[in-house]
Amino acid sequence: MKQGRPFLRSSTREAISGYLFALPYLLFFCMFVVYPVFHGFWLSLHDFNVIDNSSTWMGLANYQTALHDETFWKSLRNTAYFTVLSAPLLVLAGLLLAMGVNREFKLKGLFRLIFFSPHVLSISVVGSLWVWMLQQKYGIIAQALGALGWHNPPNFLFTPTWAMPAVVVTTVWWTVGFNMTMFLAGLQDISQTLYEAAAIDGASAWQQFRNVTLPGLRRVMLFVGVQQVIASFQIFGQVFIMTQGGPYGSTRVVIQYIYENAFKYFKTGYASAMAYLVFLVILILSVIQLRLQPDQGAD
Amino acid sequence: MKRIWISLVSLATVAAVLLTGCGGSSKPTASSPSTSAPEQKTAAAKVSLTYWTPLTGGDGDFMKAMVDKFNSSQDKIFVEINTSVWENYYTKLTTAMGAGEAPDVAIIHMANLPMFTTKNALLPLDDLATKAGFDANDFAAIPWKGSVADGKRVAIPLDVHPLIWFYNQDTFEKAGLIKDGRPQVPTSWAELMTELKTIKDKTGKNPMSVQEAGWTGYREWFSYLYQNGGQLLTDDMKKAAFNSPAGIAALKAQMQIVDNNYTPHGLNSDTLKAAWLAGDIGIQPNGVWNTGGYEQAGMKFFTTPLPQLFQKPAVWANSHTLTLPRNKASNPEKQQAAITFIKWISDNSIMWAKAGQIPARKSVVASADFKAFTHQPTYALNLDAVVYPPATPKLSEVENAIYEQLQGAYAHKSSPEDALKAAEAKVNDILSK
Repeated sequence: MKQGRPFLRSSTREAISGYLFALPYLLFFCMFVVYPVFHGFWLSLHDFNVIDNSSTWMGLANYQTALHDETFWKSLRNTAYFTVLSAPLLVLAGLLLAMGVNREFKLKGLFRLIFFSPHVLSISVVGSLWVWMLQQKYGIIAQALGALGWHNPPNFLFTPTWAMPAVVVTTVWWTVGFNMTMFLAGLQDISQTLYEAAAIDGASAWQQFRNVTLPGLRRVMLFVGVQQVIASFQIFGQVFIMTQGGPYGSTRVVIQYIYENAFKYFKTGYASAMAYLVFLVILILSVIQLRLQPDQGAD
Repeated sequence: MKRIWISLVSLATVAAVLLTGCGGSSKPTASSPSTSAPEQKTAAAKVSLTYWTPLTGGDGDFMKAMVDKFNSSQDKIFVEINTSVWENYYTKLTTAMGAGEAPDVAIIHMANLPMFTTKNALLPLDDLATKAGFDANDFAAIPWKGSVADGKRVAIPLDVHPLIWFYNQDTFEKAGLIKDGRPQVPTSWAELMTELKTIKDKTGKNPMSVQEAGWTGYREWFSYLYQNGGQLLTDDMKKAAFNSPAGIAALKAQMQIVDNNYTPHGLNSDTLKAAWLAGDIGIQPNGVWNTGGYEQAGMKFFTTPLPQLFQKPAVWANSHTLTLPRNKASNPEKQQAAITFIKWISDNSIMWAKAGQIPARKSVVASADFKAFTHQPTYALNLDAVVYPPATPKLSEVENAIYEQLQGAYAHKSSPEDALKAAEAKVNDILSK
């Protein structure tokens, strides 16, 4: 072994090898995330035509048009409606399922698999599947409702009142497994001795839940909650595949509207401006959520 | 020792996978099962063309068969066909154009040509077409004239595809509405309503479909709008013209069918097709392009042109046209090959007619082969009554705005008057920018 001083300090060498490991992903990240973020902002200040790559300076005109665009506001309301319906449902259902499969029973592994497996499917599969399941005459949901006594159910996906709830149900079925897994990990992190101590003190199941489980899950709850709101606000795939924003614009969420403007009407500058406005909204929502959670010291 | 073996085997597997992946990309579809002629011999002399189409309906298979026949009938040009769903096709085409990677030949609906011609995205074809021997007199007049922009020819029309009516043979027999082997075609709206009531009473089936969640619901209204003497936009295409007595009458007519529950509700293209093939619908208005597919499914049905039920004869139609988009790889040799391919397709459009399409070539429509088809000759009539959507580059946005408001009317969320008023406001806003 050479005994002389090495060319670089070991900490520098570690740093260099660290950067080298990160380099491939960093390249992709810069190309496909960082660059589009800046290019998108540039686009939002112009009127850009995809066919001949010509652009005209618009300044903030696209933003002004968006703020006066009635359809843009309606799509934001639709997105908020979807988030209000789906986010609490997904958090609650995830928690309940996690508590259910956290117990010791023979088939718990199988049930964990069953509840998580829809999450493995791609959005196209889930969307197409549910379109057929929700079909008024031939779909199995209608058949099942008929068996339960509700004959002639509405045509869910094509009735303005029911279309969004139908999309919510599809989304919950598809993604609740992820929240369940997060909560399961959180539940298993809570020490059993806390429950034993509470039981010795005479706490009921509900009191144990309120005073041991919930506090123990606070960090996971915060993560799942924030993540869920951000994800719900960006819903697009289900709407694009199942309803294309209809019927009568009732499921047109804001990303769907941005997509229509960018790729159906080729108003890429306008679409980019709206995308930046949405980014602002999500940012504000996330900050509010983080502020509302009380500070937690290490348990 | 064991670890060395595992590493060697893994390396060998990775290398094998990578090498097989690298091999296939350069040559034009050596894996395509349809090419019968051996390519290796004249691979160097062959001109390779890419051809994009939006034909994923029943008619796509027929176009593919035509391309296969062209490829195997000669060995100077090889055409590679690429088909995308209609909803995504123009997105794909325009983004490819933006990158200079447009295909050599592309189908573009005639109503969508302005979007591309205003951006000079298509090669003018006048010289190429004349040299290839296209005879203007042999083409249906409206689409031939309609594929010109700024005085220059930019496309060759392939077909005319209007809305027609499909009649379920069993239902009509049961309702007693067949005379001399042909279905009874109403000559006024009142007659239609009587006929529909007869079908409902005698067979219990849905007498007529209104595609509330699909484009046929819009195209039917469009046809009745013009039949009532109205029009979609003003002649200068700067303002909406459909919020008129004609437009309201047309929508109210559709609503009569909806309100009487003569149609299943909320039909989109999949569920309409399923209902039709299951025999649940008496009369289905839809595009001619479905004919071949329904025949292949073994259905027994009649077809007629959309009847004149109001003051004027008129029916929605569009055309597929063949174009040469500008792209980086283009050169005179490729352009010559492309026009040769287009001429072959046009000359052989009797094969295209098998899908149910009406060829734009008058000689093909007049030929004995065309007359031998079961359904096509029954609706390739009154081609002078066809009405194309107005040639504005903002057509897609305009039609989507109207379509959405029609959905509101069909869903009883707004009255016909309010729906058209809202649509008019939106369309005027779109056209003013």
